Amino acid sequence: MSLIRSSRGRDLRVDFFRGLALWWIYTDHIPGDVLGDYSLRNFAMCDATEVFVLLAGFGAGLAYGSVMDRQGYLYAAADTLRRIWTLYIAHIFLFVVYTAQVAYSAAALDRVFYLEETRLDVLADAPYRAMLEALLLRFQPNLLNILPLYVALLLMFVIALPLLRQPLLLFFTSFAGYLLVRVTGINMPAWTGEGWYFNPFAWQFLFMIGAILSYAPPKMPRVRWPIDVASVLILVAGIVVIWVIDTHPRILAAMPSPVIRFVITEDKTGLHPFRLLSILSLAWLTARSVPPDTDWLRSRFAAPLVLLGQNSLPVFCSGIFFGFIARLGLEARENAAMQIAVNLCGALAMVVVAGITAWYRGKGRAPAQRQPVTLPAIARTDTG
Amino acid sequence: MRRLASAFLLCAVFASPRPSLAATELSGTCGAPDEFVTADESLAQFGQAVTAGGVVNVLAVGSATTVGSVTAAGLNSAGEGGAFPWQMVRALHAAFPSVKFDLTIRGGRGMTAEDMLPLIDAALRQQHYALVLWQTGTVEAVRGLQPDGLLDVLHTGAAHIRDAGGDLVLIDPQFSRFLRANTDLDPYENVMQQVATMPGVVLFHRFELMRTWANDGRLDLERTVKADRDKALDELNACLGRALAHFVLSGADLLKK
Repeated sequence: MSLIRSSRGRDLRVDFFRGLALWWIYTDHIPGDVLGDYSLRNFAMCDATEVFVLLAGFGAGLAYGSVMDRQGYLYAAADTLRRIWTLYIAHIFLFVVYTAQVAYSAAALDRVFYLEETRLDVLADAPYRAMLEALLLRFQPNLLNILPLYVALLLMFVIALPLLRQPLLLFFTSFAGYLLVRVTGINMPAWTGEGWYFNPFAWQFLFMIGAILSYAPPKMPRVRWPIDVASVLILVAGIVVIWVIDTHPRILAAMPSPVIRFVITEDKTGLHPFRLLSILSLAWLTARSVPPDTDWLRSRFAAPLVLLGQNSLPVFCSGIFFGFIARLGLEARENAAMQIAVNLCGALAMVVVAGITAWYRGKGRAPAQRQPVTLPAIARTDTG
Repeated sequence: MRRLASAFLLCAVFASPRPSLAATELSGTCGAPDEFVTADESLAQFGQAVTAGGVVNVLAVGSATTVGSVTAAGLNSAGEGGAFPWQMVRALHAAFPSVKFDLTIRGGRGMTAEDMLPLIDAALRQQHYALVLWQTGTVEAVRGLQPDGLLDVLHTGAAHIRDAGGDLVLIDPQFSRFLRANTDLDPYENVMQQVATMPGVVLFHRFELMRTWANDGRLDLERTVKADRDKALDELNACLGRALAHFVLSGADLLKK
């Protein structure tokens, strides 16, 4: 039995890059991890979060869109809600595990700042209230803000599902929502006074773009080079900002003030247009250079990342847990051996988690496809 | 990118034609490279006030590290007299014993620049401050607040301080591997750098300075074992205070007497 699902119609590119994003999320979040200096965020005005959300939208469009086509809106909406429930439960479980892990470490090592940095300190100030606020997703400790975003995005997707059949309408409605956020700054409320770290009303645009791209792929334009050029220019501009302007900010003084404002007020919370354009450019160039049937996606070398991408939820959750252990390791001893150890062990542990998840999902089902009529819907639904 | 930055910094240090300005009265800035302790913009108001002698009022506004309750749940000694603004004033007084530097501290843990602006305005109404230290940006970055908002608030605050006849030293977040890994610091750094292009405003690069110290193995709060942490914190505050004193005196052109 193969742990990797590679049925026809499954786009392994999505799995591969999702796996890559999960691995980046792991390395990016470990303070002092050298690999964090070489992940996407060091080369583009976007990072693993954008990749993850775009591909989550892509997966949702594919999975629930096809359920809607075959069994109608009600079933598709029900499946999406079941998925939301799973994500929600996973988030609450992770919240408890992470809180226990960080709080125990903070006490054992006398490092109270762990609690401040992760924003778990408010838990001590008002524990009863904090429980309620965590359940309402209004209290999101640092690093535990991606799953609430995912939950909110899928909730909006339930409403948007019927619009998938009118992709232009969905696109412009979604775009209007994004514009509204950029202008007004409207956000989901958070307990601590400000809005969510990832504003779902802004990020839904990227998610819906992903859904549209998979459910109703627009025809490839006949003349593609202008988009190629624009994408390259946007990515180069991003590199200029990161490598030149961020390190020598005095250059900004020579620029006209609207440009300065646009460049320096780049925010992740509201998915700044520069970040949005960067991820779309990356997606375009990737789609152009990696066709769906690329051989290396099925190779042994791509397999670990594909496996991670196909089991994203357990991998993400365990990655947060392993990441904190890695941090403790690096704080105990920061040398090359420890760097190699935390990165290697972390990657291996996540692959093991993905492997176990895949085995559980596949057991009893393979090798014979006993119910080929109903299976594809389940097999293609993103349950990872 | 980090390597590029450090290469650039290294070049800047070596290319600097000026001899070290480290004044003897300031008992060392803990090996801080010149570029971190030398202001490139003039702090004329502060310079005049010090030259005139008498009482020079200094206002320090900031979050946890400024008001003095850093890490270790109140175990540290950085209360009255311990936090870096106090250390700066102490160093200034050592350099100019005849001048009375009077420090006022405002702010508090977890405060944003927006929270601090009314405190600054209120303080400015009460008396004249020749020098204002404004430490901010950390809370904004941790909470992912709009860099736009920070830009506007800092512009407004800087204008108010200028109108009240004072100079402003902005102080960026302290070095933390956690902040670097888990928040998008660059936009906030760029905003502060941008505000520092206004006349009478300078930016003290605390993050990069502390990073230099950490990389040199001189001072690394995050890698200090529990038993030594309070001592390290005291040393950090003392080093930052002296570096800041050197920084503002260089800006006021008062080092080459």
